[in-house]
Amino acid sequence: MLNCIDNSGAAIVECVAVMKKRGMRPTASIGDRIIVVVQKQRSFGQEGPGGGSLSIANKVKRGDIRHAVVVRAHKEQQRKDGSYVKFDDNACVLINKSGDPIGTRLTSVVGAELRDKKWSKILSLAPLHV
Amino acid sequence: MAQALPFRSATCCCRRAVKFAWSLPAQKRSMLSLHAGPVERLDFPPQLPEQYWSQLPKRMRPDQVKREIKIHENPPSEWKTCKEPVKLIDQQQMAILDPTGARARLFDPKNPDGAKAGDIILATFKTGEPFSGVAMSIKWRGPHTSVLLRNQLTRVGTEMDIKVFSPLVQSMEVAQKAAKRPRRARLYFLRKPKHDMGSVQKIVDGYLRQRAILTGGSPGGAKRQQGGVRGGVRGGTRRR
Repeated sequence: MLNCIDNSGAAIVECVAVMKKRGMRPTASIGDRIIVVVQKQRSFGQEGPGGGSLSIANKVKRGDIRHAVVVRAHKEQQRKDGSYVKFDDNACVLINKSGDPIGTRLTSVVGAELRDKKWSKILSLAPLHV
Repeated sequence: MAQALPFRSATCCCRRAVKFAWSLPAQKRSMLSLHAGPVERLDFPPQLPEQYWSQLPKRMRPDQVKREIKIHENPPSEWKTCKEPVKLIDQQQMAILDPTGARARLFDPKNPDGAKAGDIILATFKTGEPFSGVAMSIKWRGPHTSVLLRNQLTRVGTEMDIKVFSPLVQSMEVAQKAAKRPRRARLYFLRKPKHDMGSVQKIVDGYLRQRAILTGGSPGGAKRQQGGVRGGVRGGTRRR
């Protein structure tokens, strides 16, 4: 279960597969592409529970299967200079099949490892990267 | 006819001999017994001609001399020349990484004014943006000394374990000392929501402002740093 930090309409998603990783239990870290199922939708203020406006605002719905990129990980990750970075939660950003983010804005900090993995579009949307 | 008689007598003798042999009680008949007994060792004839030497085993040839076994001396002891090599290399590395010794003094556990767990530390890098946070733990490991900083960025707890003597670290400053000396060396309880200090950005910004006033001469540098520290929002967009 990961937080989704963009405005695509998903709030909490569940990871069902990690792409381009092999093994008994492949693990994803920052910058890895995963496949997720949307578990909870984000509600937008007052018109949140109302059906019509919600479906327009939300680009994804509960139960959708989407691709995503991990942008924060709770597991500490070593950088090339020997320092470690760790976040308090796991978070991702939904993308489409070609790799462009579905949302247009990110709400919180992302890891700088995205730069090494060529996710510059997500980095440019992010308010802060560490 | 003349030949038959000796033949018969011979077979007769033979039969008798066999009978006699079988009648002997304890004596065992074996081929080995024929050769039993000590074998006398014969010396080689003196002045054996050289063409026969090849038939002898190598060690028995007259020209064979005893092989000399060379006894090597022990190699010189490295331990005697350098008793603590790791310490020596650590010293060399420290001389390279921290020539003035200021950083080492700041992170000296015996220094009362040095950085301690619980302090708010601001680290600036030669590449990338500065990072500030509460020091949760300081690992003293000579040149590998590292400090674990925790901060909340956009309300997400972020921790960074920074190598103090890394050449990429430009400066390390204590923005605020801990109000009370913590009773623990490692403040991992700060991760719990009850004890979390939240964002330390305001404190660091205040410290930078104060420092700019005090130093006076270099507001530009401080300002730039400040801008970088405050957001990364602005810094990031500007870079792009």
